[in-house]
Amino acid sequence: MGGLGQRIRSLAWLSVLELYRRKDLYVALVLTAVVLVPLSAYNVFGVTGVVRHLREVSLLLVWLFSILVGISVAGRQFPPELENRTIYPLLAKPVRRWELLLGKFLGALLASGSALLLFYLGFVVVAGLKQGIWLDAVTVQAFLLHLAFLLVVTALALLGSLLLTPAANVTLCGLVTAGMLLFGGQLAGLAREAAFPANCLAWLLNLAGPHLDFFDLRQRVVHGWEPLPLGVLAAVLLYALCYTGLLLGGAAWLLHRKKI
Amino acid sequence: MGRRWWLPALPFLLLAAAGAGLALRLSALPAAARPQQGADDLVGLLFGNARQAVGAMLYQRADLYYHGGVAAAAAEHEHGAALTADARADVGAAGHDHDHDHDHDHCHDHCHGHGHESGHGPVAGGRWGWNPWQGIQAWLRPAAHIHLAGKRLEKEVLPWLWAAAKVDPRNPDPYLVGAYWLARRLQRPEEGLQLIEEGIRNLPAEPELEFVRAELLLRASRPAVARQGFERALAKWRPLPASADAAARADHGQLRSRILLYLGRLAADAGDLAAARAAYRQILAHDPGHAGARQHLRELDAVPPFPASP
Repeated sequence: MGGLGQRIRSLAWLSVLELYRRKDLYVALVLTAVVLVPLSAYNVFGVTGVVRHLREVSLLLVWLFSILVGISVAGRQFPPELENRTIYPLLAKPVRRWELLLGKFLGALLASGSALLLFYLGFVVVAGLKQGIWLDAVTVQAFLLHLAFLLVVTALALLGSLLLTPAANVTLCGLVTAGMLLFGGQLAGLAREAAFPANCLAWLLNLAGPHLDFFDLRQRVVHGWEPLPLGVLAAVLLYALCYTGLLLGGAAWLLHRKKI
Repeated sequence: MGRRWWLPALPFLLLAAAGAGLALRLSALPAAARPQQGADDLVGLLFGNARQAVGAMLYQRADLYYHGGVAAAAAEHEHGAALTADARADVGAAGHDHDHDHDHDHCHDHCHGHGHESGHGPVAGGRWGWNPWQGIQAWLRPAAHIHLAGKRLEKEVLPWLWAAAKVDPRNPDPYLVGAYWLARRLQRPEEGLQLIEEGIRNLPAEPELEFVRAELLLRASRPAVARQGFERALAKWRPLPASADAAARADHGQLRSRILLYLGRLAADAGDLAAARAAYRQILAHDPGHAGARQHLRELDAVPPFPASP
């Protein structure tokens, strides 16, 4: 059992190192600073203490970069191993395929999760300096749900990387993620109002599609609404775990059937 | 071969010279003759004709902020954005403050609540069986109808009004509403005046901007300058074409009446009773049922003379 944990830890650690070696994250951090520093320094009409627009732009950038990092990191886990044939010596060692998948998944999650933590730390510092409130319950909840979002997106991109070419996978995952974030909450309305067959498609998507809109608490954070009840938070986290399990199960099945 | 070292470079030099010559000729053409007209500023260069749509979006964002980020609440108001409705009601009240309550609970200090009814639990209605996620979605998205209240929160609408005015300087609404928020709600009359003057520079034919500027000057106890402003507003006022929306024409007509009401009162305050009477009669010529104008005329005709305005 110790050997199993050690193997998965090693695989995961490699993915984390890969993210920080590629320096994509630093570009995202510099871009965020380039946007936020002038924005936070400027007082519109000379009025000080205006923070909500700053919080909104900061969180938008955090979401944008976390999606880019999350999909690209997870989507890069398998294709280079298959292309460079480094997966053969890996599987020749006593590493089972599901262990490889779990290691890759945890590594990608750790990598994008650590990037997310950096982004949120930046957000808290910017909001804190401008407003004087450093951390509140709703921001902690927003971070937790954002992490749950990365859980689902990482599993989705891993599954896609076993089915599609890297470019197609990144494009499709980006479309699904953006589409569900923007329109996931409107699918039920569309299913009620649209004509056949669009209503059936919307209903199916609403029922079975990954509701990534559940994880977006920006409205609450930006406008200072009260935190979510703990029961609702737990339900959304459970949803993320179930959906991730489903996607990882599919990925494990695909990897098991793959001729390597 | 060594003497013809410049030969390979010759085509490039000729092309560069031709390009420079053409560029000089083209840049000397009048703006109307150029294939594409340049933008006045960076925003124009970035957005082109889409700047109106982007400006409107930014302006709506201010309204969204006024409602604590809840879009549905804004849609409940009948005459466009609530932010505008509130501001217009106030700036157009001829010196009388209106109640802003709208029979809604305002958001004091911090915003709470989820549903429209009780502030807790999912929003009722809809077909439950159709959407299994309805309950959770209602909890996740706050939907209570609130308005920001108090200087600490009200100033949050300003960045979007500022951005809307910068992106689309041909839209008077961000200037009007921004000036209202600055001068009346945040007690920053100087900043409000500066914004409205920027609007006048960009929209010199817009009478409402001139009217609001004059109102702000009057509130700053500068009646002589304010009177000149009202006169300029009246000079800029033109009736809307018959094809315009009836409600818009009625609003526009009321603007003229409000300008004349102010002019009448200022003239009376200055002791120029003939000018005051003339102003009120101009209102009645367009709107014979105008109760305010009739009342002021009665007061002028009465002896002792017209009391000073508050």
